[in-house]
Amino acid sequence: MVITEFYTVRSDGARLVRRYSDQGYYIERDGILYDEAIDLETSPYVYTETDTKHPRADLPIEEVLSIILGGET
Amino acid sequence: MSEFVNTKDVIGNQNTLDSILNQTITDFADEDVTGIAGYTFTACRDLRSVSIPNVTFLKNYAFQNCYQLSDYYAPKMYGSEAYGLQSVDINTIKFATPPTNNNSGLGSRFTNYFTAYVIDYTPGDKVTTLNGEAFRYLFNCFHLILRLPSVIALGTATSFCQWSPIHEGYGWIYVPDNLVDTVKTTTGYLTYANQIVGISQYPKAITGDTITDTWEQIFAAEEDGTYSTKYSVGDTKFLTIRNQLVLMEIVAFDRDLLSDDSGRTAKITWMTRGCHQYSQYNRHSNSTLGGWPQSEIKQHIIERYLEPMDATVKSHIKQVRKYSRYYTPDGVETKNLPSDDYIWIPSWREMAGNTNSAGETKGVTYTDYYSTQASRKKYPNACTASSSYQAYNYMTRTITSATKYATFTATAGQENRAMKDNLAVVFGFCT
Repeated sequence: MVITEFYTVRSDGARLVRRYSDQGYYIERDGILYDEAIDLETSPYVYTETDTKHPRADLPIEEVLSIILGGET
Repeated sequence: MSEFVNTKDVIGNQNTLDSILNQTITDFADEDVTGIAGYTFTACRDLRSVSIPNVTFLKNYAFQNCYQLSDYYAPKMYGSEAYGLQSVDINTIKFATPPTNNNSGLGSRFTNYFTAYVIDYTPGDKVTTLNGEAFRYLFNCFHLILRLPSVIALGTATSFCQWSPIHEGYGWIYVPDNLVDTVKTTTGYLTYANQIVGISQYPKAITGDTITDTWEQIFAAEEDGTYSTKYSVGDTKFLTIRNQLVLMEIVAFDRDLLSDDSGRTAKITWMTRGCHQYSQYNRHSNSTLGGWPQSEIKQHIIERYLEPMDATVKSHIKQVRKYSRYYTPDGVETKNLPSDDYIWIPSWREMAGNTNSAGETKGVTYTDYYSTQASRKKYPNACTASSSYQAYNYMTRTITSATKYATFTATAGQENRAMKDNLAVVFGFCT
């Protein structure tokens, strides 16, 4: 399922939303695959979930540790 | 110059035993080398200059933690695996155009932890998606130049430029002039729409620090006595040090005692808003001998930050009296070892008072500014908690036993670490 959630408010006040698959699959729009997409809240874009998992969904443990430890591995 | 001699086409390999880890090499130049393999120059802390005109690609960690490396010439390099130039103070990393049909320069995280001030990237003509993870952890990158042949989708939008000054609103993303309007409204990129400009405008001034006066004007205000009304504690100002832009903040007025025994105080005490370097030891020898005044970290910040500092600022820095807790290697404690310093890392007492019994009992504190534990957390350079990024564990000059010194952890709690442990650096000076 494609999740849509509030992301942030840009410095000019524009509200941004993030869309992603809750199962770690690529989402697709107009033939382009995204791990996740950020658009204006008012954008008309429609994303569909694919059946292909993106690499970030299965990060190696050392990469996860790298993130947690700030890259000092 | 070290005696290292190279005759290979590719230096090192994924087996670290074959690389030249931790060697004392100072300069490396080789026109025949075509690639730098994993870990090859990792932690060559004396390496200052590299000339590799025919190298096209770096493997993992190739130059990681070569802190002194600032002269880097690799005009044909089109990409890198992860962390290839981590924690290297190169002014500009310019990637060459990759060979046709080659997009390997887009390895996930290939730019992670680059400390370059400018990253100038040209994707290959077969690249259809930019991996957003390739442009994050750019702690010192204020100018990201993307020479896009056309608008290329951002695959991972929330990672794009995250944990960089650009994410904090300080820097710029440059794209071809004819693509600016389109990129500004493109999925992912539009997060930074207000910071996306044409390449013809490079380099745009970096703004966002709260003091708009020049350093000269700040020193003039010190002279005429208006400084404490013109500026406030917490105000920030960018400072140029070698190839980097360091965000300084005011932590106190009229507080630090000058070393000249006149009884006068310095007018403004500055400290870095965030951390610099993320893996520096206090003493490589792991000894406490001599305490802060004779420490390697003191000599290191003099060489790395004070000596190459903007000349105008450096000439106005005042020597001040500091006190630091000290234990000899035999365990004899001196609670307040005096020193006279132009540049310093903070003591435990200065940041947190005498909490946890770690601190000194003499000397100034900045605890009116660093009034809470949360306020003592330090993020990379101009980054803040708004990046959703963790703070760094940074060192103090407070030695808490015969073998350890105090640090502020990622939550700004106390930790006592071995003298040789590598941690982040926060530093300050007085004007």
